[in-house]
Amino acid sequence: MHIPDGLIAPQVYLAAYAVAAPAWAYAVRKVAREFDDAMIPRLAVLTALAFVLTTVMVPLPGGTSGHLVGVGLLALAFGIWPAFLAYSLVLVLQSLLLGAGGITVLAINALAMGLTGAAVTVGVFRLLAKVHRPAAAVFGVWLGVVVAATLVALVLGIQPLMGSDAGGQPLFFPFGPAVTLPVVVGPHLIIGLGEGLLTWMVLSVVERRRVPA
Amino acid sequence: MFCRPFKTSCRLLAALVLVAASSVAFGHSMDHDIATAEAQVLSLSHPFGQQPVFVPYQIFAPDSEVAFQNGRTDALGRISFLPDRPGRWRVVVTTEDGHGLEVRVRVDEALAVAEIEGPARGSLVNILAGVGYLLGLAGLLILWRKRKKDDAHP
Repeated sequence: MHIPDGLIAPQVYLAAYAVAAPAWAYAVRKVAREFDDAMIPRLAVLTALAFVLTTVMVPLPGGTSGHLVGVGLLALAFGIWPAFLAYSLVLVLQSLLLGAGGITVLAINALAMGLTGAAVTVGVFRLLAKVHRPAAAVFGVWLGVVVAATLVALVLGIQPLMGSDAGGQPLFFPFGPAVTLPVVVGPHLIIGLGEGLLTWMVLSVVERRRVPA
Repeated sequence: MFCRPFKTSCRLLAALVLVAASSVAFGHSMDHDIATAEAQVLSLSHPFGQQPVFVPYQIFAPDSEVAFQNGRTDALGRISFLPDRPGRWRVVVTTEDGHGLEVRVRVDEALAVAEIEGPARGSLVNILAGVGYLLGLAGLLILWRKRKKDDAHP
């Protein structure tokens, strides 16, 4: 669901950077304050795992493909702000090394997937963990993925309003929300479920092998 | 008496004007011609080898924000275009799910492709490089924190 460069109007991605910059600064301070030397390798390893998960492409009906998002794993393991920071790094690497996403749209992707996705996942998990911990994790990750996909679809869907050329052709992404919402969100209803199950499997292994403090 | 040939001439003239006017009316139709030319062909594919079929694209000439050409990929996921001037052309492909591609094609004075710039392609080497960067960054962070601690409490 990464938005690539060239599809988003500058007024949208610059506004996203204005919102993301203080959020990144806060996340850096929080990680620097709360993470000890034993936590950093764990964060690095799970961030690397999230990066690898995003490269696993799943074929989808219609000839296109989708991939796991990976932020739910980081969110449940470390919390919202470390997940946001680590996932932003994943997005940078994906853009520079794999051509997925982009640098101008980094803030949009980071806010939608890294921050909102993580916040929804953690919020749902905290709410439901007392009832059934595994189900809370799976549902939290699923909802985080779906909400992130919805945000991405809405950002894409408003682009036709952001400008058109002399011939009336949109200057940026050409499809409205009536197209983007079903096309982007639909596949992520399934991807999110797979990601939720995989995240819980990984986390249960990580929790069993946690080094006592 | 001489009025009759004059009338005939007038009728002939009117007929000629009508014929001429009808040829002007052909201006509303569309003529066609076929020429053989060497077009540039951009082939697209998804990671599983499937082609993005009938996907919208726009092509921008150098230093132009107005599309030179727009349309949809063909049934084999291809875009062909015929540049009419040298410079850096931009091909923007957008799928409905927000995926897309921007390729810059530098066309030389002979109107041939001199260079193509596109996004980095995913490969196992690049994925391993990404993992290496992340682990390396964590190592550097730990070393930096350790050094900071050592400096604070020598």
